[in-house]
Amino acid sequence: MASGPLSSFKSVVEYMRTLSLSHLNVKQFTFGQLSDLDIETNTQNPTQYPLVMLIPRRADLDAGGKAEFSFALSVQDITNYDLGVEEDQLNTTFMILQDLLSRMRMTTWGEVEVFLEVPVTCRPFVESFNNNLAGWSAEIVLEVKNPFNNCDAAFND
Amino acid sequence: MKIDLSSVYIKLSRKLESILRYQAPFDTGFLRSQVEVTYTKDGIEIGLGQAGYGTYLHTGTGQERAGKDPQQLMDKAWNPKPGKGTEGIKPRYWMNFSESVYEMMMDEIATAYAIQIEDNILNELNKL
Repeated sequence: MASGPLSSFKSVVEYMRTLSLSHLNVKQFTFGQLSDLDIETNTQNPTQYPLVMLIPRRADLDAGGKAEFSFALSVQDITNYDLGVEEDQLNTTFMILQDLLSRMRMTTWGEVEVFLEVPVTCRPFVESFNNNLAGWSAEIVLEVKNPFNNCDAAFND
Repeated sequence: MKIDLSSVYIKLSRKLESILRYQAPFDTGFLRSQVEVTYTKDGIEIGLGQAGYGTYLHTGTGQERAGKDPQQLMDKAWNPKPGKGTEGIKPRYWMNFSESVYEMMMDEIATAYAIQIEDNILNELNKL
């Protein structure tokens, strides 16, 4: 898992990547926008499912040495015409999402300096995007230590 | 005129993988996590990674084992609840696909083929 304090945006994304790929049922992790998902033309490195996708939303810098990063965390699988498969996929992707959120929530501050705000709202989606994906998307807010720091700021004077 | 259906085959391999994950017998979820369907130049392959025992759940074991003829095995329908065998594990045929899956595959291939032919014809016409 992540080592050292999490403070930068990149370290948070890296933490999410490591966490997601350590889950047994996750085949791929992607960071970016939904439009980046392309199974139609990317034949060299086709997307693997179940896929965890992290989409950045916003960041809030606060007094008291903390920063909050907001993401959409989405777990998705490629869907089919069959309702039985779709129901099973929604179940599986929700369980994966729940596992990831549990690991973030139950990890102590001593292990990883990240704090997941609850409650987390999760929304299902089916037959979405050009790949007919189904799964769940959660809006998460991760709190990390990131004080305003004038001493280390990159200025000449 | 060049027709390249590799993207459709890749998409279909992902769909087949998700169907197999659904059909895979479930206890700890390890078998499901290991199922992988890949498209290579030789065709679409099913891999079970470190869960090779999935084959025994497909064909059954001991006295309950289905015949060795691959064609006969493929003709059997997926049986999610085979019940308990007395002299081994009863076959589930979980790696077999239903007729509707083959129909879905044929539909997708036919659609992609038609689109590519149409695009090629339009390209040729635009060159005139």
